[in-house]
Amino acid sequence: MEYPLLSLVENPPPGFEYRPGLSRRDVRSSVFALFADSIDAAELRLQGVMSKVTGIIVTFTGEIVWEPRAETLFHLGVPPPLRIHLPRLLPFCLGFLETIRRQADANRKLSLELARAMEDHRRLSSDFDRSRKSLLEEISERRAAEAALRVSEERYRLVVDNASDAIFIAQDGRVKFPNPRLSELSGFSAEEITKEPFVEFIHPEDRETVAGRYAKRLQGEEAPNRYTFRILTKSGAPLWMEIGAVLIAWEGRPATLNFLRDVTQQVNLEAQLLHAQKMEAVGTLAGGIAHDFNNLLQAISGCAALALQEAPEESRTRSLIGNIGKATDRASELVKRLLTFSRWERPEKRPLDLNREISHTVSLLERIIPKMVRIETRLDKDLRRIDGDPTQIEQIIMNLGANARDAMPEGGCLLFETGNATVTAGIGQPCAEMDPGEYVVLRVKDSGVGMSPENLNRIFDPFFTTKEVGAGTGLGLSTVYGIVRGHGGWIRCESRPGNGTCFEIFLPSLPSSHALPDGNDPPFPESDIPGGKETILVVDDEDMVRDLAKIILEVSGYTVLCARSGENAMEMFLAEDGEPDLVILDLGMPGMGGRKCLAEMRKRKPGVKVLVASGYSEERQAAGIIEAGASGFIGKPYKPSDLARTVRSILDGVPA
Amino acid sequence: MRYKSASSTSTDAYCAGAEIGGSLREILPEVVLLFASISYEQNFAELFEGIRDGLDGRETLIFGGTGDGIYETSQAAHYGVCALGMNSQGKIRWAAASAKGVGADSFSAARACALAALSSAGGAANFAFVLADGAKADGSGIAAGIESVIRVPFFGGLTGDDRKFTRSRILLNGQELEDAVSILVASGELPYSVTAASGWTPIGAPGNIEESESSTIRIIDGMSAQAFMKEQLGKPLGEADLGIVPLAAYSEAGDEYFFLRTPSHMDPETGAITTFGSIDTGTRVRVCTATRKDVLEGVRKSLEDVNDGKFVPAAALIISCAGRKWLLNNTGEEEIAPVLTAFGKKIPLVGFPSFGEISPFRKPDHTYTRTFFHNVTFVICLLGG
Repeated sequence: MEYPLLSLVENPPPGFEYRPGLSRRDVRSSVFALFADSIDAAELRLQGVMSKVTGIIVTFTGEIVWEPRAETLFHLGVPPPLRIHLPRLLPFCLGFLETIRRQADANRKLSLELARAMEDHRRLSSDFDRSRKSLLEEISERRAAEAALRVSEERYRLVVDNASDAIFIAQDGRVKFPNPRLSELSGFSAEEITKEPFVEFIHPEDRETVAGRYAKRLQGEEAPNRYTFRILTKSGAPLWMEIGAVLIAWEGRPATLNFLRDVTQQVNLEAQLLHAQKMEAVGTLAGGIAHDFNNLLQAISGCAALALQEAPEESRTRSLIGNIGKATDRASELVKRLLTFSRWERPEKRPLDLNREISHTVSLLERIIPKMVRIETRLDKDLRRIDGDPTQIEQIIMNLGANARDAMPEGGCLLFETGNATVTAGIGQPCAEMDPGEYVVLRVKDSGVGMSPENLNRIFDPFFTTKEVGAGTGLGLSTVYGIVRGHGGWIRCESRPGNGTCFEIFLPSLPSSHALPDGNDPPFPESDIPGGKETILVVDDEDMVRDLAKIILEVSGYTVLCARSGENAMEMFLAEDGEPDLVILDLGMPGMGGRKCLAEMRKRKPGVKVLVASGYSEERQAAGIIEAGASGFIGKPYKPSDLARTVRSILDGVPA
Repeated sequence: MRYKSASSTSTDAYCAGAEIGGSLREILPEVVLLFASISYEQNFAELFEGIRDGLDGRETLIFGGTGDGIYETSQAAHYGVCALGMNSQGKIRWAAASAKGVGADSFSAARACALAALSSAGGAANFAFVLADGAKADGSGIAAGIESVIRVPFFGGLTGDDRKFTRSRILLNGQELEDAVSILVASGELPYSVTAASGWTPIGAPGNIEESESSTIRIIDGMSAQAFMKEQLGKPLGEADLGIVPLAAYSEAGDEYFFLRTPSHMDPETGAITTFGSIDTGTRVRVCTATRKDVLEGVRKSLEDVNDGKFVPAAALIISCAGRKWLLNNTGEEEIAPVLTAFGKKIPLVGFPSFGEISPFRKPDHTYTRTFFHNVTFVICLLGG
């Protein structure tokens, strides 16, 4: 720093010397020396500027005592002669200068401290602003994240609340956060559902399974994550549910995330399908048995008929043989019903007005149903026609009516109701395998005792009955089932103990333009048993059937040859001098069956007359045989008169 | 050995120097360790002149540097100058050397400097004190360069300024040097012990440095260095955290002996941080914090470790990271007080707030680990004789 009144010169004024080696900067910045002629002159000169002085005034005059400190401070060596003056001035100046110097030093320190403090403040402010900005950004990010989370939660809630499946968390054995669908399905409110352990809502028979799998899953063990079970709704009705469950962590603890779907209809349809398949299987089995049984009945009935002819009148033998005949008739009837159930008795269908058949049959029912059972009909005036066998339709109504009577021992109401129905494919269809289309519906409802679920599952099973032994054959509803299925229709039953029973029968309807035929066909007239002299070849693998036919025909005057197989028949057919006039050919034979044998015979001799006899009363099969060249068909067991009549018709060239 | 300390807070460099010199003149020092605040940077020549004048022209080896203040027996201040005069009465051979270019290659410069110092000392030394320009040098490189030459435990620090991290000076025999390293070596009977401690505690989760270049750390655990520190601290790294909030870096010496690295600069664009001292890629790091209590606990630990009782301490030399006094928010007097309490209120004590510290750790068996470059660490050297 430069001071005013500087008087530094290259060489000090006379009498003064600069101390060797000292800084010239110091002289300039720390102190200055004023050379004056006298003290008075110096004081005069400095009067106006005394306040600005930061140096020492040294004069020539006066003896002074020189203080070494002064020398150091002011960097001047004052010769002894001049030192005498210094004491008068130096203390004042020294002190003053010291004060000034300290003040200047303090000011500079203050400036430094202030600069440091301001820098610290700036730094802290900058950091504060930065932190504040960062905090605000973080808050904004958090708010944005919260908003995004809310949107996400709303979307999730939208999806979950409107899901067709019930969705919920299961933890600690309870349901948490159920979506509305669970309440819709169960009938319980969300509050009710979450209040109790979830096993309380499960069907008692399924609780152990569900609880066990839940516990296993929570422990990380393997458990099926998709299975079905039943829940009990608030009304007490069971519902089948399919569950999909996965293990999750919920609030830091194991839980399961569950998706429930109502599969009650599906389960029911599957049960119906299984039942239908079972019935098909049973029908196939029953049909097979019936066929074989028919052959046996053929032999018994035929021999009994022949024996009856030879038994003396009024004899005990005749009576006994008569009993055999009655028994075989009843057995045949049973077999026929079994075949009807197994749909091997093909209906003879024609366009029918179901309402007319119902009205006709109800009038018959009224004769066998007690008066305390009130019969009502509610028949659709615009009911479409069906293609049906009137006899079999009558049998349906009679069987159902009889069952309803038995279910109302104290009386009640039996309702027959008809209507048109359009079935569309999908979950809503009444039975699993129904084809979509137009149907006619017959409902038979009673207000009887109803059936338990266990019995309901078996009512169409052959020989199943809840009645006492001997009180029923157990074939009534099986027959109804067989007839309905034979008509291409479907039957289902709803019943609850104490709530009556309702049978619902769906029969395919005809187009509305379909007209009914006029009147009924006239019955065929009875005729005497005819005979003849022709040669007949009987082909049947069953010895008794073959022998019986031989007897019947020989009694009628024919010459009868017998073959036990298709191969045997061909040998005889080809070896015989002249062909037989007629071949009676069993259809179901091992090896070369009847169909092939017929073809071979016609190949050899196209005009050969062949009467096909079979226990399989399938109209289509018979029709096919006729088309294959057979002259006629007779079902087993046949009566001797039927056989003789048919043989004669064919030999005479009359269609049989 | 004779030791005397002196200090002056006069803002006039010459006066301050004259005060120092005048105070030390009575022991006729052979060496003066000199530490001054950067506030004298316009007038270091006058400071030297004042000291020389104060010592009455006596030829003395003056060795020192700048820091963010001074520590001396009588005071700790943000601005001023302090010095420790040492006189071995000819029993110790002192030598000093310097080398430039620490900014370009700290290792090579330090190595060259150490070789020159040893050469001046006659080829051997049993004491070495190093100072390097804190604005330019890589402390790790400095320590490594010296360690490649000098086999005795050595210590020192990085010079600094008044928390601006822009410049500093090495003061050596009338010269003020930048971008330089200097070493003072002694050969002869000079009992001493030295150690370091910080008091900082790792708090964050460990991360691995995936990308670094010299002192600049770019990526830690897949994110920028600043982002990593922000995640661990819970707030962004601020200017006020520079030099204070370090990363603990674990070395092969074991988890007990970690060294610290505090940021000196932040790059807002890349998120990189530059630390006082290089740190290698692959180093495992953790963010550290400390309270005032922790800082002083570091001092207490160092005092425990440094005094082995093998000699009577006659003087103390302190290199304490400036970040410690910034955290303490004072001039550093709280760190000096325990030393004076431990060794006597009149013990000649000098030191400075540095921008990095160089020191080994003193083990319980009184041997030394290798020398590390530290941040936010308190290094104390006790001198005897």
